[in-house]
Amino acid sequence: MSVSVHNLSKFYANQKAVDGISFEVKKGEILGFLGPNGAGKSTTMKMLTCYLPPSAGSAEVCGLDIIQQSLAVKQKIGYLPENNPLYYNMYVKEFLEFVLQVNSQQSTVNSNKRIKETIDLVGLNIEQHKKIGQLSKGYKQRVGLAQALIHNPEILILDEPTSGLDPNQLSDIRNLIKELGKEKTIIFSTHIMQEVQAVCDRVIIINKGKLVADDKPENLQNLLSNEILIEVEFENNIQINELQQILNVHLIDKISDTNFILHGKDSVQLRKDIFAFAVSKKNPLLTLKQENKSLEDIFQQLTNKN
Amino acid sequence: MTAILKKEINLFFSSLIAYISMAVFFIVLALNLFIFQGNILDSNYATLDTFFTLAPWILLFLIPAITMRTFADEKQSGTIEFLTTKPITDFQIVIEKYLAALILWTFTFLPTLIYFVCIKKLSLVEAPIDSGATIGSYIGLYFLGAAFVAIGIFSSAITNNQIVAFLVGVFLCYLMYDIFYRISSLAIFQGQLDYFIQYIGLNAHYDSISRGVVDTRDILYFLSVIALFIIGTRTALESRKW
Repeated sequence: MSVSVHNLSKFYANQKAVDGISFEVKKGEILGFLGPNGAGKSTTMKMLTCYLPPSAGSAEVCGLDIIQQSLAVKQKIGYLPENNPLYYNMYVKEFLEFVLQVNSQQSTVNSNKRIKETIDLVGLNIEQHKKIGQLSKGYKQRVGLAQALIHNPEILILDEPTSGLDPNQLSDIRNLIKELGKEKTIIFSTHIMQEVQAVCDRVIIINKGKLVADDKPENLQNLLSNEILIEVEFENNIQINELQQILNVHLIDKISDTNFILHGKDSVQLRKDIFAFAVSKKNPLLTLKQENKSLEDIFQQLTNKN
Repeated sequence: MTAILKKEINLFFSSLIAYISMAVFFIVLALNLFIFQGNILDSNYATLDTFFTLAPWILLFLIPAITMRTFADEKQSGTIEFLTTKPITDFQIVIEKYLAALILWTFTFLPTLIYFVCIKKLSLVEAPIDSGATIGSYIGLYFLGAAFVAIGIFSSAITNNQIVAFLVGVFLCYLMYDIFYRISSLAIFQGQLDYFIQYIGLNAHYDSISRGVVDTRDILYFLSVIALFIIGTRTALESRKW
């Protein structure tokens, strides 16, 4: 196991920021860390990176205890903190050299080579001679990733690496994360669900400091999909109470006089019934579309339960 | 091993901080020593007393100004999280930052040795200046500055606001330098505790070395104050874990 967390908790004066979380991450896995703001994602990451000590519980990174062997743990981890703090008055290369030295504790012979490799990897080529403060947000984010990567750590912990980027930059960074995930273990937090579907091997959802889901993205989707949604469109106006005659429909969302979303069970029979209903009303059915519950719905359902 | 030290020194010398601090210290003291009223050319005595009396009061403001950003800035911008999650100990961060500020203080201090040379050259008689006392005073001043640097980085570590760090730094430096001397001269302590109270402060030890006798007890005192505030700084840095 690359990372294993047992009952990890963090209490502040009158608040449980993280409350007994346990999970494991295998080598080479990309783990998406989801949760609403203030759920304890960042706090968990801060504990794993030895910035904050846990109030209770324990965690191991590459078999090393985060409290007893924190220096060794820090060497294994590349960490991109939330909001990506950087020294704005330093030049990109100067900064990366500094990070490399802080990490390795001795002047590495191949430091220039390594810096160049990393700059290529994150796509900082055209901006490498600028001061960090002069870079755009997307490039600053790449510098943040570069500093996390430069010492070639086994584990990457990225706290919201894609927040505030434009769509092109988003897909660049996602591809980079995917690429890196082939060799490294990656834990990253995000608010964006499509990102999880696109990038992660596994998803953990936490809410109010507690773990509420831990599964593959596709399994999570099945988790709640015994209820299905069917979008229907009729040619002529129809009343909701008429639609309620259809068997197995629990709930009807009205979009317009002709468009509705029906919530129900047993998709095949339900679709047949809808068709039969349209025939009986002599109201042609223009659209009949089954929708899967999205991760977003699952997220909302899991995190709004309490 | 020295990455942070290098980074800090680069920061001092790539911005104006280092040059301004050197210039301010050198020029203000030179003006008082050679040009303004009461200068040594009028008094006809070959002595640097004006310099050694005034210098601590300038340092009281200058050094907290140099050190105020040391930790406050890193806390404000969040880079402290970046730094403390690298494979180095908090103590090492503190030491390297202290040494960087100490090196800047050394560069600020060294040009003032020119005053000594000037006065030696200016005087007409043989053996004009009390070299022993002057060298002692220089040593005392250097240690005083080194202690102020430790106090300054401590003040910077307890807040994330640079102005607060500066003001606390000035206050703590003043407290350590002068307050104990003032308290010891209060009537109630006369003849009893005044001697001991006076020796808690930096002032008494600075004066003691200035007489030209470099006493190990005084050196030890300065080193203890420096150690105390460096440990305090580390404690402040680790307070995030409480």
